[in-house]
Amino acid sequence: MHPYIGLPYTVRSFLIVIVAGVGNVAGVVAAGLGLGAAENVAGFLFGAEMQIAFVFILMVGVLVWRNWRLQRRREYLK
Amino acid sequence: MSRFSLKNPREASVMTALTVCMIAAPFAFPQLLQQFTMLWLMVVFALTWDMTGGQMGYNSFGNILFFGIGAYAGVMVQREAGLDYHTGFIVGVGAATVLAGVVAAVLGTGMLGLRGHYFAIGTLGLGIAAGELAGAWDLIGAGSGLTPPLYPADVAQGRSAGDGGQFFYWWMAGLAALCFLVARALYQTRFGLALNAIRDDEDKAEALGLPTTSIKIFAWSISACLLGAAGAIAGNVIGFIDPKDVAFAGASFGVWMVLMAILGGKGTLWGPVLGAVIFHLTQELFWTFLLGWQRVALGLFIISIVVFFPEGILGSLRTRFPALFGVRVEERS
Repeated sequence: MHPYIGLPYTVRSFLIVIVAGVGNVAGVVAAGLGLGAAENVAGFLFGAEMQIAFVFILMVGVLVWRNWRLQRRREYLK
Repeated sequence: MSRFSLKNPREASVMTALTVCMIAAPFAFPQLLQQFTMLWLMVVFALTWDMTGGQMGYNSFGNILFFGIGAYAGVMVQREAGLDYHTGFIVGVGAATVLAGVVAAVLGTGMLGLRGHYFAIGTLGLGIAAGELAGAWDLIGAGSGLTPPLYPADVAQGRSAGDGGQFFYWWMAGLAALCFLVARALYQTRFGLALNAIRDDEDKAEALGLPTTSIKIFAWSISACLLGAAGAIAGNVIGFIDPKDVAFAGASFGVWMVLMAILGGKGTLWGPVLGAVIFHLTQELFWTFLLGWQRVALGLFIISIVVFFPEGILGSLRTRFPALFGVRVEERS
C-alpha cells in the first residue's frame, strides 16, 4: 500500500475508455475485458517486463489504425 | 490578433536583461549552478511543448519521449563510441538531436492524424510505453539505468562536481537561447501563422490548401530535436539516467512541461519562458521552506493557476491590456 497506488489505474481506465470510444458503454466493457486479457497473454509471451509497454503500444496501434481507416473517407476519430 | 509577443523596444530590453542574467548567474551564485542549469532545462521544456501544444493546438502529453530518447542516445554515444570526452559529448548531443527528430517524424505520420483527446492519450501512451521498454532493454542498462562518463577535469581532481557543472551550464543555457530564437523565428513567418491556423480550425486550414500534415510533422520534429539535445545534456547534468525517474519521467518533467506553458500563457512566445521561471522558482522555494508539505503546496499552486489564470499569466494580461501586446482591438457596434 502506498499513496500513489491509484495512479496506474487512473491511466488504465483512461486507456480503456479511449480505446472503446468515449460514450460507448458496451465498448468499454469489451475493451476492458479485451485489454485485460491481452495484457496477461502478453505477459506470458514476452515476459512480465513487457506487459505494460505492450498494452500502451497496442492502444496507440488501435487508435492509429482506426484513424487511418477513417482518413480514407476524409474523416477522423471524434 | 497575430503577433502575441511584446512589441520591439520592450522585448529587446527584456532579451538583453535575460542574456545578462544568463551570463552572470554562474559567477554571481556559483553554489546554485545546478539549479540554474535546471532552470534553463525547464525553459526548453516549456518552449518546445508550446510549439505543438500552444501554437498548433495539439496537446502532447508524451513529449518526454523525445527527452528520454535524447538522454539515452547521448549517453550511449559518450560511453560506447570510444571518442575523447568533448568530441563524444558533442557527437552525443548531435546524435540525440537527429534521432529524436527522426522518431518524431516517423511517429508523427501516424500520431498527428489523431486529434483532441485521442492525440493526448496516444502520446501519453507512447511516453509510458517508452519508459517501460527502456526499463526492459538490457543493452541500455534496463532497470538499473545508465551513468554518463564523468567530466575529465573533475576526475583528475577527484571530485564529483565542479568544472563539469560550468561546462553543462553553458550548453544548457545556449540550448535554451537557441530554442527561444528558433521559436521566435518560426512564429514570425508564414509557418507560425500556419500553425495557428491549424489550431484555430484544422479543416478550414486544409481546405485553404495548407499542407497540414507536413506542417504538423515538421513542428513536432523541431520540438523533438530540441528536446533530444536537452535530454543528452540533462543526462550529464543529473549524472544518472533512470528509465522512469529521469529519462521518461512522465509524472514529473512530462507534466511540468505542460503546466509551465499553461502557467505562463500557452500560444505566446514569452509565456512559456515566464512560466518556466516562475514554476521553477516556486518549486525550489517550496522544497526549501515547506519541506514535507512541498507536494501539497505545489498541488495547490497548480490548482490556483488553472482556476485563476486559465489563459496563463501573459494570456490574462493580454486580455486585460491588449495594447501592451500590439494587439489591435477593433470595436464593433
